[in-house]
Amino acid sequence: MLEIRNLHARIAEDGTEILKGVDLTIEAGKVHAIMGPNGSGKSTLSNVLAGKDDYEVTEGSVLFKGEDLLEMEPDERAAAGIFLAFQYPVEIPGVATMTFLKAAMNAQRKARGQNELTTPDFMRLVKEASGKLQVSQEMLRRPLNVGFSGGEKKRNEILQMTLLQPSLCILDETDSGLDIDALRLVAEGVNALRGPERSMLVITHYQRLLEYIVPDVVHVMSKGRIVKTGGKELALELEKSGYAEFVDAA
Amino acid sequence: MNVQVQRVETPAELKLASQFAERKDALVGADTLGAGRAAAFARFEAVGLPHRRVEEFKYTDMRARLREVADAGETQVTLPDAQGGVRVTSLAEALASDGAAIAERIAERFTGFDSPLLDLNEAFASAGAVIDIAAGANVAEPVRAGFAHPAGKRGDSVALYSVGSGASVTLIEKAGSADGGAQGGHVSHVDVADGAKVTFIRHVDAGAQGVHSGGLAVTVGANATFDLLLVVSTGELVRTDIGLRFVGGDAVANLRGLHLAGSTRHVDTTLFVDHAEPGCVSRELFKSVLDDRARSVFQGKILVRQKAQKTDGKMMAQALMLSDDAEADSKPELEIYADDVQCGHGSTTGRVDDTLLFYLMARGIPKREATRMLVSAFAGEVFDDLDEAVAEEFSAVAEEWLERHLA
Repeated sequence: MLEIRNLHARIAEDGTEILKGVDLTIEAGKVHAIMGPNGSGKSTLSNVLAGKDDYEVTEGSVLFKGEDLLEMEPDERAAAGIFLAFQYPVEIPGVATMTFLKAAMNAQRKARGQNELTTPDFMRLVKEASGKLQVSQEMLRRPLNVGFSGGEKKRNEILQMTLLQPSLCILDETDSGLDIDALRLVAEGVNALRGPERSMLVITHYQRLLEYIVPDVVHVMSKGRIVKTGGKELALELEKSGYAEFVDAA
Repeated sequence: MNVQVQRVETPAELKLASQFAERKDALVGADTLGAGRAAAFARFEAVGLPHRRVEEFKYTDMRARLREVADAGETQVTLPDAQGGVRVTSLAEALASDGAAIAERIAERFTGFDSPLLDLNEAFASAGAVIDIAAGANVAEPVRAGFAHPAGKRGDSVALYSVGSGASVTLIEKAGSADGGAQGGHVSHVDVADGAKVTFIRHVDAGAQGVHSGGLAVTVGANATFDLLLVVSTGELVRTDIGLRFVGGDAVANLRGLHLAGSTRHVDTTLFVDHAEPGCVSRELFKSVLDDRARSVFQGKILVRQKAQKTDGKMMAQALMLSDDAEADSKPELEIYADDVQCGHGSTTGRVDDTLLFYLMARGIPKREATRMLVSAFAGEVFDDLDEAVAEEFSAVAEEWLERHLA
């Protein structure tokens, strides 16, 4: 599904190198977690994969389903099946949530050579998905994320993920700012999407999220590289001993 | 003391003077409007075309920009359809039946500042409409009038609107000549009586080469509401002078505008709000979307007179730049003589937000479409609170402009 080789990236504006040789392979159907201290490059990795141009890739390669991901524009990556659930979903006044959802779904369908959704089909899909995530009709009528609480924003991210049916879901600190009930709801939404053809990359600072979204593989990231890889028990280990040992080792 | 008398001297000014001399006796209503026209032209002649050292024209140097004056032509007025509560007469008819009263209404124009361009309009305007809404009328359909200036020629028009007390109406006017090159202007006088509710929309569609200098003079009575939307979508040079005076207390004015400009176009809206009575609320929101080397100017002044306690006035100008070479100038002024008031102003200028653009693209929406969504969301704020069909009509104008301007 995803093959990252020796990926180096820096902040375009000031040239600060953040990723210093990341290697990571994610097979279809697997859930990988990346944990690490603040500033280790976790969020940068997710943004580089989604195509944010604040970062410049200086070395290395990323293949997604065998194609060169780094050559694609962000919208092409999305249409190819990449979905980034943002750590801080933006508010867009003046763009109704429903209008946005329909534009996104149809843009991706168009890019894949599929017909646009009819309005009844679209409404049905939204209704199904939003009900499970407790996203109210009232929220859907509001401008995108405007006036949404932290939990509502994250649920809205998972709603988009559910509707867009990506093949690689990248969850960037989706647990940040969530209380336990919201966390459970979001995790249920994510777990419902697990399947043999869909992979996930769960980026988190805390082990807590991984109690709900149980990963197949856990990586520790420090100073722009992956420094340790293990099974789900690695997350528990980290919770006990902290990141110090890995930070020092890196 | 030195009194500087500035004579009419540029070729454009001289041509205007000779046009006035030639035409003044032949213009419609010469018998009733003649004196007013002569006075208006004399005011113009005393100062000539305003240039950048005249404060209200600081960013719009008409003397430099209006080099050639076109020959006079005929303005086509489209009068609104008949409906209950609406009385419509052409300017010529109104002058024939009630010349003195019309002359008085024209002479009473309120803008709050000297505008030689509106004086020119007053001197030459010979086409127009008089539209009166009966007191208490709840007018169902928007009242639409058109003032098409002659392509390649000069034309001036005037409309007199009066809305009776307690009436409710949407007035829509289209001014300019979409098929090109007209010079001239359209000036509307709107008198809103006590308790009336008026939505007034002007769409200036002056064509690629058009020069349009328009005006809007509004008086708002007690407990009345006046909502304005000004949309300027074409025209090489468009200047709109707006004056609004509260003549009764506890009234509300929502003034909104949208400048859409690309190429080397120049769009200036200069506004004066006179809080002459207590307890009135004014809200100004003027937005511009600018491409290429276009320039947008918004000057807004709020005057709060001493008796106008409990005034609440807020003014905002926002520009969105689609290119590096566009320019937006914003000049707010507050002049406050009352002590219990709330007034504020703000201004923003920026590009399409990269963070928002990335979010939309990360969901699969291509850059052009994502940009279009963000620009229409920005512009669309001026259509908020309008009747749905009317909002749709004018957001379509913005959408159509955007389609042409997004790469």
